[in-house]
Amino acid sequence: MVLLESLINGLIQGSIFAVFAASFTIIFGVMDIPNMGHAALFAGGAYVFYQLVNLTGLPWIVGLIGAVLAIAVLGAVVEKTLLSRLYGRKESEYVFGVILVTIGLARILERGYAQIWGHAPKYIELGNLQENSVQVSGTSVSHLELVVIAFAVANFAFLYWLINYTDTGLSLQAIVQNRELAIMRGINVDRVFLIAFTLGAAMIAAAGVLNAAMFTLEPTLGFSLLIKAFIIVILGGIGRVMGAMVAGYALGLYEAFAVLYLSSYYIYASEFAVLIAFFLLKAIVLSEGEDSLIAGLKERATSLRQGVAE
Amino acid sequence: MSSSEATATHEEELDVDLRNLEWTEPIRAAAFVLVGGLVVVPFVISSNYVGYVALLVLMFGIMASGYNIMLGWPNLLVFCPAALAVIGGVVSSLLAIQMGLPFAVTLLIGGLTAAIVGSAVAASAIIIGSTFEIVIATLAFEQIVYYAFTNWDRVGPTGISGMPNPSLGPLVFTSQVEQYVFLLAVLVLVTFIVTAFDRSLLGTLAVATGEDEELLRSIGYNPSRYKLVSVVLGAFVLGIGGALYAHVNGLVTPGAFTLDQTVLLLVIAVLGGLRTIYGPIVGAVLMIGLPEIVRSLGFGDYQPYIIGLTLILVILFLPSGIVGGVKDYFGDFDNGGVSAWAFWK
Amino acid sequence: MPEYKRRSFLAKSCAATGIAVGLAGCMGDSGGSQVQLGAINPLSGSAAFFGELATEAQSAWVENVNGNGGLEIGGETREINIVEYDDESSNDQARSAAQRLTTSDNVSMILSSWRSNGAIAINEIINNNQIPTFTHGFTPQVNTDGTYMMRLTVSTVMDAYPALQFVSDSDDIEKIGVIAEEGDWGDDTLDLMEWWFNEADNAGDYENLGRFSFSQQDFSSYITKARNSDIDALYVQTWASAMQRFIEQQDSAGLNDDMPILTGLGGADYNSLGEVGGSMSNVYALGVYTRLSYADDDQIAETISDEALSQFEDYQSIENAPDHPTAYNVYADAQAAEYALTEAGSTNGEDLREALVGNEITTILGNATINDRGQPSIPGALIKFDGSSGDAEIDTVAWDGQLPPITSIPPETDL
Repeated sequence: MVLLESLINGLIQGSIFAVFAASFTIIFGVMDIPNMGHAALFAGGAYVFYQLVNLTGLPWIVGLIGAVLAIAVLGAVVEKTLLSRLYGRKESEYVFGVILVTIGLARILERGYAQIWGHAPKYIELGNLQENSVQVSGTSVSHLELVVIAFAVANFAFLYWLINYTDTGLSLQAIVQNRELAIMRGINVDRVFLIAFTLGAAMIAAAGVLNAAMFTLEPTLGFSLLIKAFIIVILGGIGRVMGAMVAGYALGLYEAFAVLYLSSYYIYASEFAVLIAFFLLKAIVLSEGEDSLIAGLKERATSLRQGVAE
Repeated sequence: MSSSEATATHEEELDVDLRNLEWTEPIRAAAFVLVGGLVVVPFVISSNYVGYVALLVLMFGIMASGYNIMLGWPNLLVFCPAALAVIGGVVSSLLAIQMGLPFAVTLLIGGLTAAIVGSAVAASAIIIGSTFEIVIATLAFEQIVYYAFTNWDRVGPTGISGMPNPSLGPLVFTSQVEQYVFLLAVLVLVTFIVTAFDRSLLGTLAVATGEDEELLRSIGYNPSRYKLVSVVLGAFVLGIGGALYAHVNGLVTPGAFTLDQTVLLLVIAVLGGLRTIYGPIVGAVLMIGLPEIVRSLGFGDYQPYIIGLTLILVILFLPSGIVGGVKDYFGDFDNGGVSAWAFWK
Repeated sequence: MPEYKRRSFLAKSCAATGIAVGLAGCMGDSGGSQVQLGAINPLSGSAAFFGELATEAQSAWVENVNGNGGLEIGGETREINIVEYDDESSNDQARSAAQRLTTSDNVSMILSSWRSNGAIAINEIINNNQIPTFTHGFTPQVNTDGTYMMRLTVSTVMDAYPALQFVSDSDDIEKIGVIAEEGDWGDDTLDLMEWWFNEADNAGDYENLGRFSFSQQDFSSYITKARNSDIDALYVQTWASAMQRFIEQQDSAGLNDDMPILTGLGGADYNSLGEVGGSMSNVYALGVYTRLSYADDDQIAETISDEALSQFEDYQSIENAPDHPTAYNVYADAQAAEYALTEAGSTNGEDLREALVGNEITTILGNATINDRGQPSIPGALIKFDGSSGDAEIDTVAWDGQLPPITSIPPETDL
């Protein structure tokens, strides 16, 4: 009973982690750099929705589309006017540049939200999704929670299709794998960067709306998720959307079960410790040119077996 | 540099060449900061408020100078300066309160503890190697330090308070002016160390690790060694800065040393100019002073906009920072060493 | 530093350069016969919601006092002026604001200092300058004898006291589960539980069901754990937005159908009960400030003194007076300042502190006494709510009385 409930809790939390991380990893993977303003875009989507639906009274579907469009446009503008100026720089300046520009942007946006909509936590309603629920072997699951899980699945199905079956997706993949080669093969990197950023922004806006409907809406909404997203994206493999999905659900389930036995301090600290251990392990185990820890470990296991067989 | 003689020489003989160092350079830089700091003393005395802001500027100047050593020279994007500083602050405070050790001792132990932790950070960063993985691993480390201190019952979210004022033997620095002069002395010392580091072969080699690791290795140097030295030295200065912050304010809380402070230190260093001697000090004056100016002019409401915009504009239009930019424009008044910016890859 | 010296330096420094750090020092201006009071409110950053309410409540008080011609202080009628600074929810900013208020602006009292860490950060400054300061943080570290740091805000352990009284009196509740925040305040709460049930031997027992951080978004795992534990009620220690999220989520999960939810709600110094209205069924919350929001309910009105009720009516008649529990708390602090100024007949910090400590002060919250450690004894009520109508309505008052000024475990006062 406890385990079933925890499983459901973990799946819901995992869906939110996974969706946040997937949109984060698209940007991260293509541009090599974390967008520190991601949490601000996440909250931005939710505030646009709040404005359109709760304050203006439009139907929620309009609000959702409006939120996605508004944040996608904002993302595109930020990429075009701010970040694209940094691409030509040397790597260290580029790393500093993107991190600091996106942090600066996040400060401006958060203050803007607070001035327009106030600091008080807001509740947003998504049709009747929050009120109605179904029973799953004795545990009540609200429609909203089902929608969140469905949204996560649909989101990943869409991304899977986009990445594997469209030209844009193939260009994205090419850039993630080897940027120089992609440029040599004539891929329009500027365009792909713009698409990646816009797409990431649009997805995070939708995730922001759902998250705010699940919990509350505040200007700094999503900052704690941003830190989780680092963990998920790294463990899932930078730029690997499906990896982000697996890692997101794994993290959600881990938190849901771990809380039964551990204090939250140990849960969070253990997550970060795993992350550092992962980096160290990867750096020690992998040789030049390999980038998947699991593949590397497998290879070593195979060679070890062969060594024993000989 | 790539001659066979250089390859044949033992590195021990090459990198510790402090004897051959031009000591006039560090002394000049230190004197410059000392004079600049003393000129401001009348303002510091003029009001407790200005005095307090001046103390903050000095403390952040010290911490940012330490951070700059690891950022600027070997170009390691270590993202946990706040964690290293708070370690120094907590260690020094606990030793002072629970064991009653004199400040000079607790300050040094605080700095050394930060340096020891820094050596572990440096070792991890060297092993990890990739830039953004270092960023994220150190970010994660900073979170762990925060959780650990928040949950340690001797520290907790409300931190440690009630530690004694800074002192040196019988001299206790209680008033603001005394503390200002004391902190200025520390900053002067830090400036001296940073300049000496910059002018020494150690500093040059640290820069070279960022420029071309392979070349360095091929002529018989071990790049990891210079990265380690830079990070450990930077961590020591950060720890000292954190300990000073704790004792001057009489309070150190884990929540005041999180990502926000790391970003502030990064902004100070980048705004002033990475790998410049005076950059962190100029950056601290601006980043600590600017909010106070904005507030006193009655634009407190718009502060996040102003800070955010400053950040974006500096990155877009003044990427080598203010001191770096002035240097690029007017030539080398600050850094007699290698002035190349292209130290990555 | 002597006044004349400061002034001359100030003039010199301002004349000498236009650098604005110097300028900032010149901005402080002590007006003629006006009484200068300070306020350090978080107008940006994580605590900004409370800061904005504080500003509004303090402005309402100033308008009210000055509208009546000012305060009678030592035979002279003087108007009030508040110098307010934003602490940006940061300790360094709080400290620099306190420096300015105490030394450049020469205020007699500081009406508000937010966040526990912010209050600890300025503690030394206000004590050295002997400026009585009202805080809304909970800061047992600085609750020392003779402190200038005062509060009408209840502590974390005072929050839990009525719930524990209720549990020990109740026949239905044998054992409670406790979930608490990570860190000092959660530790204090659990120490109190341990002391109450196991050392002071009150009836009942407790079980620690886990700790969470204030930024916790999803409480479902804790709710699952509570539901599957052998407990009769759940005590939750947190406040503001985290409490709001918890209340919502436990209601969606139906935990309040299984057991009563007991909270201090941070003395109900709480974002807004209205926002969570329908989720409040079977939730017991300590009302210290919230009681006033429900003053038109007969059961609640009985727990409030007539004097406090009539003062509250006056408050409501002030234009732009915010209708929120946090604002009532801030207003009561201002009333205490008003009492101190008129009672002491002076604007000297030492005299003001003497007037504040040990005397019964009448405020809209009821009669409060502040002890030598700055901690108040203040009336409160443990209210059982009913949310079935969609709004948070009063079901019953489970406990009411004067909350003892507890700051540490074991308690330094008789309970």
